[in-house]
Amino acid sequence: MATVVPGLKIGKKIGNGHFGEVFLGQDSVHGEVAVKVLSRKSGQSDPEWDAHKKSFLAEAQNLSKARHANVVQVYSIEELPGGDSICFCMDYCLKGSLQSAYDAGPITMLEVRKVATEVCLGLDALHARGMLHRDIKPGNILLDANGVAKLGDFGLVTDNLILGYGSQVGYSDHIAYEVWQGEGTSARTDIWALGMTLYRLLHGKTWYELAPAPRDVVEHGRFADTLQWLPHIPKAWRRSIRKMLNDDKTQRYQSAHQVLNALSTLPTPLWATTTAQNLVRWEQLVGNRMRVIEWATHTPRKHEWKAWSEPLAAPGRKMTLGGSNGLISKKQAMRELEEFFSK
Amino acid sequence: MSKHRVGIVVVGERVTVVLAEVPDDETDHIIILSDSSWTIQQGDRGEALSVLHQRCQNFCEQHKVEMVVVKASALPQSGVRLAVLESAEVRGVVIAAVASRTKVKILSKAVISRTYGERKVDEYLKDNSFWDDKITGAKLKIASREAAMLIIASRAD
Repeated sequence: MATVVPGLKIGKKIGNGHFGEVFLGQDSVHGEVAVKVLSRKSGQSDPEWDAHKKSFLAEAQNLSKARHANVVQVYSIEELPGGDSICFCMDYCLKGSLQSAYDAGPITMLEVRKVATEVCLGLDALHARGMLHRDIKPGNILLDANGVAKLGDFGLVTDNLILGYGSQVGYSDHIAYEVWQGEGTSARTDIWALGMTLYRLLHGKTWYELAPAPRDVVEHGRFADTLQWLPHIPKAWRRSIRKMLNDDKTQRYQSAHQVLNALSTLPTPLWATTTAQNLVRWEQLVGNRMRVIEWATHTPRKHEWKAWSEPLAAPGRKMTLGGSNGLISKKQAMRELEEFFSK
Repeated sequence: MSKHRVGIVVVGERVTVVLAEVPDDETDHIIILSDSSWTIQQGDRGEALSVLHQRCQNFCEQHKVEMVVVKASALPQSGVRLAVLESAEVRGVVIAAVASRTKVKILSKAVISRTYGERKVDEYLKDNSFWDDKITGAKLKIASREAAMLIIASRAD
């Protein structure tokens, strides 16, 4: 362990971010903290690094002011001896980011709405201070020990980075249409990124990666119309997310406050969903029975689905609830499943 | 000098929030800064009220609100229904949340009618010329006039 600033001890590495490595730390004032160390990239010239450093340090003043229950608090920012690294000392969020939950599969609508609501409360506070996040994505939403979502890594991305160097997978997928057209970022590009994040959380990594990457298609326009939805996602959710992803920024929700109102009316049927390459499975507990739906893809053109309920522990028999009449097309399977879920 | 004040009216599951800048000089118009409606989240009641609590606190902090005036609960003329009680729950959460951040005043329609002007509140709410005379700034929906009236009626406080 090395002492970086008086009272701060850096421990084990707990993650890697776009901007550097993250370590667990012990701060004499705040106790357990996360310490992010941003280092000069190889090949970065002196003027480039100086410009980066200057913008990071300038942002530091804003970051330390952004106190909110749903924003990761930054306690201090220091330039390390030698001048090639900057060290951020911030809240340690015990449950980590939503990246691993997203990687594991679709998250329930109830959980996504809770996360989205908490993120909006934090985002609203940042926007009210004239700040932008610019990098909303599952990996930047952190859960504290109580499971409360907090926005992390805000203010670290600059317009230059988005327009010039945004290359990390996942990151450039969240760039809004107008930014691809050369406009700068705004509160409404944060809302686009939030919409993209919600879509990803509802569908999970496997489903998300079946479609062309947004970084390749958003700039061509009408991205929201190309989204492929899992059939259990209700129309109200689709409408809200499409609105966040509207090419015309004036047609999006204009503020986090408006998104909060939209979220409050969304239904949250509790389907636990798992997705694999050729099978999607939904489960829902109803009393002492489990409702199960399976959608199998035999070939790209041959699909099949079936739904049944089965007893959990008590004796009982399996009951068929519905299904496709043999092998059907993907389009028909989607349509039938959407109809089944909407009942 | 002026101060930021908020009027809040809870009706059912909807919270109307009017933010205004109130100049010290009482002859100056009150400037409406925003007129918004918040809907209570569907589903789990505890979670929904917790979100509302946080929204109220955020709003007071973000706008540096000096005082919030909340329309008081009133007994309905017909029997008390569950919706009335639930609305009172929402009002209680709003009052608790704003009181943790700023000064809060609870004002009933009856008290305004007795202490403000010479007419009843409902007459002021319908009178367009009254509103032209009292407020300026952002657009105020007719349905939000009652929340703005709370600010006007407590201007001298």
